[in-house]
Amino acid sequence: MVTETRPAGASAGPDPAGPVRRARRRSLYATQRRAGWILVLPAVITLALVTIVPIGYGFYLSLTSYNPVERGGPRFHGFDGYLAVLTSGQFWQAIWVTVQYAFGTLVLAVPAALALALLVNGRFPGVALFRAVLYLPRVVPLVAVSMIWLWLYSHDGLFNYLLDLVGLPPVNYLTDENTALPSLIVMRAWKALGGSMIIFLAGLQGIPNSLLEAASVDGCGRWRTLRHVILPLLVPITTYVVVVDLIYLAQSFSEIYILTSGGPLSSTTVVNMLIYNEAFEHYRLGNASAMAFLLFCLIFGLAYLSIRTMTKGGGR
Amino acid sequence: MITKVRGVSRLAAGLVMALALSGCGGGAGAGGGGGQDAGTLRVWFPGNLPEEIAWVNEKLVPAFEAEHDVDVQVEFVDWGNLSTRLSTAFAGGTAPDVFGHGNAAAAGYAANDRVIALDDHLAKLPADDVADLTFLDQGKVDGKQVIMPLRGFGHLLAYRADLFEEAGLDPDSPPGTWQELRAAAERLVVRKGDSITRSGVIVPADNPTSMSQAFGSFLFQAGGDFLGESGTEITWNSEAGKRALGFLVDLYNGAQTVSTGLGEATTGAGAQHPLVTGRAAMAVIDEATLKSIHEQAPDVASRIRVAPPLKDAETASFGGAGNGLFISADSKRKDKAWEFIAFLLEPANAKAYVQVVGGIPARASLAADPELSAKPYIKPYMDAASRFRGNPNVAAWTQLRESLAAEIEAALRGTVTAGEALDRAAAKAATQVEQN
Repeated sequence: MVTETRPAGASAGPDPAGPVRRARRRSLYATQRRAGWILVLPAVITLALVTIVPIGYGFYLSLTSYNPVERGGPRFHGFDGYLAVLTSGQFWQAIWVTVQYAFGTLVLAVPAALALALLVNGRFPGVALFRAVLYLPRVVPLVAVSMIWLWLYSHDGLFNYLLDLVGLPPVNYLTDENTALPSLIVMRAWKALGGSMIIFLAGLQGIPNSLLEAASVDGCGRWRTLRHVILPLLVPITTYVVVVDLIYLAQSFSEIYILTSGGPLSSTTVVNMLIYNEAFEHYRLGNASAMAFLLFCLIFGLAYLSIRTMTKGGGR
Repeated sequence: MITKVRGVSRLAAGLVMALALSGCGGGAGAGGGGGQDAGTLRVWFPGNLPEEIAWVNEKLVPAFEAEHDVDVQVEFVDWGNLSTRLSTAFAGGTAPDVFGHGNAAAAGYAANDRVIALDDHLAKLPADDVADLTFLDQGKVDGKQVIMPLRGFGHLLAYRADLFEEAGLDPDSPPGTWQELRAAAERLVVRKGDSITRSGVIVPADNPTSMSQAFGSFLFQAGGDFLGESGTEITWNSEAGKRALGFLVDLYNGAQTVSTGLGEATTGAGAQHPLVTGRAAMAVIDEATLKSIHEQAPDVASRIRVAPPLKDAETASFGGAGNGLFISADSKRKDKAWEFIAFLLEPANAKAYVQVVGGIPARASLAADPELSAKPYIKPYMDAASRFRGNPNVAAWTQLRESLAAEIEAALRGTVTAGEALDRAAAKAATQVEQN
């Protein structure tokens, strides 16, 4: 902010005004630092109040036994809650359901999103409208989407109506323990499709034409160009899509609460559903908090593994 | 430049101060608007029935406020979120003065000193007035009145008279025993290949809890009970219990299945209820569901009749005291809270309440009321009121019920036998009783 200039040929000897200037400079820096702190203070306070303090309190709760209906507040019991959760079959079952749900959705949504992105990357009449329609599910709230799919999947819903038209018996999509989780995965993949497609589209449009032209000159057909040029260049984008989706999917709750509430026979009880039940059905907030931190570890581990796996071989 | 930086610094400091002050101001305003002032009575009603909301807000509350020196702030909380909202309100010290809930939660709140005993208030009412209150005994925990039931509910067998005639059954002679129920269901069931297109009979099976309530009806009919008299001994896995669950399992599983639709939402389903759509010929349903059918599908409702409770060893069914009102132990307006409850239970209001909500009126004197008796979704339940039995009033009941409900679902879905399911649930519940 303050620059010191010295005239050419001026003596490099002691400056009689030096101490005064240095003092003024120190005062200026101190004022700048203070201003900086004051300017970021609202953000720091907000971050502390809405993020850091709740996380800290959540961790404290995870070390306690706490039933909000009881008087007396949380009772510290160390890591007993973590031990109880880690030795509970219900928790590991919920982890397994969460993993199936997250990866099942990714396996459906990511290739489909990439295929759609390749499709709408071309130029044809109405492509803008087509892109908008495909993106639409992304902007509709998940709760609203869930309510619509609840009807689609109901006994008298659209899917069974279509089956009936072709003479097939109705399917109990959400009330049969064998079909409930796959049905949720299909719905969630549909919801995730538009957002992932747009990101892939941005990635495709960032690939320099010169590379595609060079591949063409070298005699690559469309398939070989896709396989050896486009897909390798999309690895960073794909990693981003997979990791971000994974983080969101592992925290799924609202669609499951609306469509199945975790049933039938706990076949759709993901960890977040279990945390909700533990906290608000059984009033065990300590155990629920411990589960939340363990879920964080799971998400962190899965995301880390995904990044490592997908960036292996130089894709960065 | 220095002057400029100082200016920015002062401006930022001013902004932070303003933000902090505005935050304080907002907090104070929110507190004032949150109903904490001395003249406001906060009441939470469970449910979101539009007719109930309209009656409470437009009739009940203005009439109460006109007679009493207090403002009433009513909030309706969806049943599914009620326990969650209450537990967080208790933890945060913001529980309403009066709140509604089902009977199943009464013992838990009483054990944790979250609600007050109402006996002193009740003692001030005339004796004949107290004697007229039908479900009072079911609102007691350890001999103390902790909840004032506003209405009763029950599960009864409803059936389509037209489908009975089609199947060659007499609609004037509905099934009265398990054997008759099974025989009628076999006559009424319609199959297409391996699948059932019309169930002979269905029971409430929206979720594990409703399945456990359906089991309760058959358990009581078989002569069994959920718990022993001490409230700590699990008895649902008695021979009577196993026979009851075995009967239900045979409806949904096995070679001669007559029922389908486990997990489908039927409670309050109105025009979408399988009795209306023709996907079931008989159904065990509660009074609120029957009311929703009458309101949403009056044509089909005119063909639906309701049978008295079934009999095996006993004539009984699941039901009794429905939702009621508690007074929070933290309320600073307990007298006003009681006045509100007493006002709601005055004969005219007790009658109006079941007219909008359905169910059995909280007063015995209303059993002969011609207007209520004329309602086809109220009268059969009033007639059967003495046969309804509910959940045990023990502190851990909601936890015990969950253990039971999960195993009942497993049995109904055919993953375990009825006996194994009840024994497993009993073993888990015994541990829960010990922990409590």
